[in-house]
Parts: sequence; structure tokens; C-alpha cells
Amino acid sequence: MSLQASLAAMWAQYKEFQAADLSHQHLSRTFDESFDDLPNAKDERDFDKRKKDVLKVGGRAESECSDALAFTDPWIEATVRCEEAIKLEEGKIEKKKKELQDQYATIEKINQQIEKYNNTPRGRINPKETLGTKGDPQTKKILQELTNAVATAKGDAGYNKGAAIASKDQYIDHKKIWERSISEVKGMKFTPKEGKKK
Amino acid sequence: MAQDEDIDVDKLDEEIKKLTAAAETLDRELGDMSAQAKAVQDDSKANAKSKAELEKLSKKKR
Repeated sequence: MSLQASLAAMWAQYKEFQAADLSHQHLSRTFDESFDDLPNAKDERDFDKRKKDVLKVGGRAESECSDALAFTDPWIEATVRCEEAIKLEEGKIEKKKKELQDQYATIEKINQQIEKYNNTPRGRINPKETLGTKGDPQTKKILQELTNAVATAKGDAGYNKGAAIASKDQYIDHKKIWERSISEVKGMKFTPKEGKKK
Repeated sequence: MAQDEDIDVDKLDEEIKKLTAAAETLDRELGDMSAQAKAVQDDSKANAKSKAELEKLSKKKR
């Protein structure tokens, strides 16, 4: 997989996770609000209705939580594939640098021979365009661009890997919290407010 | 002045041909790599907003 393709795949995995994460956050806030409002139930019937609604939101939130958690592993794997592609690209850059050095050494050697030959009474050899150093600044610029791109890719993969690992840990905790919270709501009973008794 | 017998012109010409072909191949490969470098930088810029979100996400304590 090319570096560009592996980066695109990594960002796509993040977007999948992000959608589930945002949905989970929204449902989580709705759950908290309805949960905090449960003690304001007017009577047992109202309480049961509210409790049903809280459990419904909690169930959906728990499901989004599972989805977000399920997206973290493919996301982490995508960052690992990016790191592999980065290593390959670094290897290619080093190989190209070496090839260029070898070419310049050969050019120098050939040019010396041409110069030597041109100093003899026989005909002259005109060095070909490619034997000059015409392409040198441009080649150096390209290699620098590549080095910069690989550094950018490394940074992007690093951000994604860090966030993906942290998110996985967070969602493992969230899942436990949802199990506890839903169980807590299920066990809740209507308690009339003291003020209302009078 | 150097003696022209020291130089094998045919061999030199062959070396020049080989070097020219190798330089052309390298130029082509570098062109492809340059295009990829540009695409990587462009994609990274396009994901700048996501990067800011990721930074928050990895630091977030929920």
C-alpha cells in the first residue's frame, strides 16, 4: 500500500470513529439530563415513563459506545500500516540519495575522461546534457520535498495512533460505566418528595 | 597533452549512454515521488481540522 493510500485509509478510519464518538457524546448528554431529571417525577406513573425513556437513551448510548470501541482497533491497525509505509518511503529516499551520489561520481569520472580526451589531437566529445549538474538543484528540492512529506506523514500517523489508543482505553471505561449506569437506573424506584407528602 | 590511446572512446560512449538512461529513469521515479509528496502534504493540510480534534481527543479525560 502506498504512503498516500495508507494515510487516506487511516483518516477514513478516524472519520468512522469520530461519527460514533459524536453520536455517543450527544446521547451521553441526553442520558445525563434525563437521569438528573428523574427525581422530579410527579408520581409513580410519571417516574416509570421517565425511567423507560432514560433506559431507551442509555441503551442507544451503550450501543454507540460499543460501535466507537469497535472502530478503535481498525483505526490503530491503520496507523500501524501508515508507519510501515513511512518506513518503506524512508528507505526509498535513502536509496535514491545513494543512486544520485553514485551517478554524480560516475559523471565526474566520465567528465574527467572527456576532458582528457578533448586535450588530445583527435576529435572532441561534447558532454551530453545529462552529464552536467543541471538537474542537481531540482533533484535536491524533490528529495527535500519527499523528506518533508514523510515527516508530515509521521506526525499525522503519530497524532492518530496516540488518539486511537487513548480512545480505546476511554471507551473500554465508558462501556463499564454504561453497564453500571443502566443497571443502576433499572434498580431505581419512585421516591415521593417529602414536600409533596404534606 | 594526454595521449588519445589512453581513452577508449567506444567504451566512454557506452558509459555515457548507460548513464543517460539511468539518469532518465531516476528523473522519472523522482517525478512520481514528487507527485506523491505533494499529495501527502495536500491531504495533511486538508485534515488540519481533524488533527486539532485528535490532539484534544488524546488529551481528553472523560
